[in-house]
Amino acid sequence: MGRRDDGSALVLAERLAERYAGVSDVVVQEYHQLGPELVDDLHHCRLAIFVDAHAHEDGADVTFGRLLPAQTGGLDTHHCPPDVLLGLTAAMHLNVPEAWLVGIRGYDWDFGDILSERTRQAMLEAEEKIVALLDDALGKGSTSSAGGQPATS
Amino acid sequence: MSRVIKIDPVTRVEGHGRVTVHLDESGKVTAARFHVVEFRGFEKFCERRHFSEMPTLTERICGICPVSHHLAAAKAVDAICGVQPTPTARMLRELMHMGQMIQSHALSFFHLSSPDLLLGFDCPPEKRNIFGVISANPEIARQGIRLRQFGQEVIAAVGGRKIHPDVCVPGGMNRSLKVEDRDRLLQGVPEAKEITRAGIKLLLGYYEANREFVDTFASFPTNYMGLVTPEGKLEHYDGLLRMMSPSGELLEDLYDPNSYLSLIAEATEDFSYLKFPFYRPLGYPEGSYRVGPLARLNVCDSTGTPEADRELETFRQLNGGGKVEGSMYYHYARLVEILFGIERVEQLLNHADICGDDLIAESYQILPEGIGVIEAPRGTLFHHYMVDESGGIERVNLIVASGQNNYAMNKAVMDVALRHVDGANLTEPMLNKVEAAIRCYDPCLSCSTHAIGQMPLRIELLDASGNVIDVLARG
Repeated sequence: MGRRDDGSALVLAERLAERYAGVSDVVVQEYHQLGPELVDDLHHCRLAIFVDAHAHEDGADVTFGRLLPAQTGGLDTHHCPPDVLLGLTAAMHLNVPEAWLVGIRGYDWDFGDILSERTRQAMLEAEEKIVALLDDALGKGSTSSAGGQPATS
Repeated sequence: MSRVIKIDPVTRVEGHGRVTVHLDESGKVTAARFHVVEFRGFEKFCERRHFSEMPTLTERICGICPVSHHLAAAKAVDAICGVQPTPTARMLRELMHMGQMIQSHALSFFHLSSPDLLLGFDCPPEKRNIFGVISANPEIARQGIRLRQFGQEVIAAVGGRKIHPDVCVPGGMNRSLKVEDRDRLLQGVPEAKEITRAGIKLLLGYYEANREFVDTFASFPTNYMGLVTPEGKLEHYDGLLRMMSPSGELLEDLYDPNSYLSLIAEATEDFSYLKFPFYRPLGYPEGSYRVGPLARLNVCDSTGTPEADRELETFRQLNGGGKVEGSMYYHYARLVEILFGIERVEQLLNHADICGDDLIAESYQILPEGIGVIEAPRGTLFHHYMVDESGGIERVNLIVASGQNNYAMNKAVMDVALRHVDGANLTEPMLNKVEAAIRCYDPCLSCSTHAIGQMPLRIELLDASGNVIDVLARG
């Protein structure tokens, strides 16, 4: 039981973990929040894709953009925004993975254990885009219909 | 014309608060207040849930000290069931709690407060952050991450995940510690100790170089409260309450936490959603007290672990053997507690039964109420539940650590504003010092008001009519 569409990234992570089970180059991790200790994992990566639910009423059902390391700012509290985490990785390890931020719009935030239909569709769309990115990075070529160049955020 | 300066929000603390500094016509500070402006109402919306859900419900109050809420709730739930956890379960809970203490304190010192200490209060705000620390001293930043990682790994090994573990059940734990996890964690102990020693050396160097500033920065006498063992040693998971006067007189000793309502009452002020707990026999505000690392080290006779005890001796010399009053010394107390936490982790991991599988003491009764009290990283945490015959929650009372430091944080803000803010020649570093006074307490406002607010810092100067006459913005 959770906040329904708030769990869209979690559902997607489970689907991706199943899809890439046995592919050692792909690691799917779930976090309630991002913390600075993740820099040690990130700097070993070639590609990092951050996925989260979003609640922007004026946003697309799936937002998909290139994420660049923050150059300043920092930790105001216990969690890191993904661009700050990338910035910390770059500052501490001098190398940083290519990174993307994927947002899945939520419509229903009430208690429940299934996604709303519109968010479920958005989650599947996001999955296709991520699979295309991953397969490209793995040298498999994309088998999805996502195609196109994602907009840079 | 009198003016009011607003620091809104206070940065590098968890949750959303603001500070107002009131100036007279000449720009002299006349008052300063710390306002907590978020409201969450966890106590209310837990009502009608089943009591057994409370450990996993209440830990959602917080993303930094969920283990504390999980454990306090678990203890309250044990009490409702009239059961004590098995010895192995008790050790696992304390082990997870020490992981929490280490990671929370490490974040506070190395990432939230080190920019002020390493780069200076006068450093431009755009550089006074973790990136500035990495640039100035990358090793410190790396060490902070490694130490926090160690604490997180302890939590994950015991609780299944780093944040929001769901391992505590009535009467014990629902999973055992794997032998390979125990061995892996033990391998990390030496590095964790080394990092902590390096942090202490760095901090003591800062104190030495800035002695007068540190000794006079938000330094004032208060009462202190914390849990101690029956022998008077530092205690975080169990124990009995000790309340101490500013001079070190024992106001209460080995006080049963289950009777906390006779010990503590809560006052309210019209400028904050955060209540002001006080020691009932002395009334408000005389009975206001401090909790957390500084208070715990002030009230205990010893820590009970060798290296932390040696460091405690150094700590006690800061005020010639008297109670340590300076808010800046919270940082030192935090590092001593990290050392203690690592030593306890080592002791617990080396216990013959730590990987045992006798994890749950069964019970089939439902008593009408249960109280769980522990020392969270920021201070004493009370969970008190009243339930109906079927276990439905009828009433919840949470007294959270940061709330108990509310009076002290207000006093610290006032003290620093009076000493360091010149309204006629206002600068950003002056206001940063006011914020730093709050950061000493590492408050978790999300916890204590039971929304995470993240906004750029905005300081407004208002005239007596509330008109904005100047604005300083950060971020």
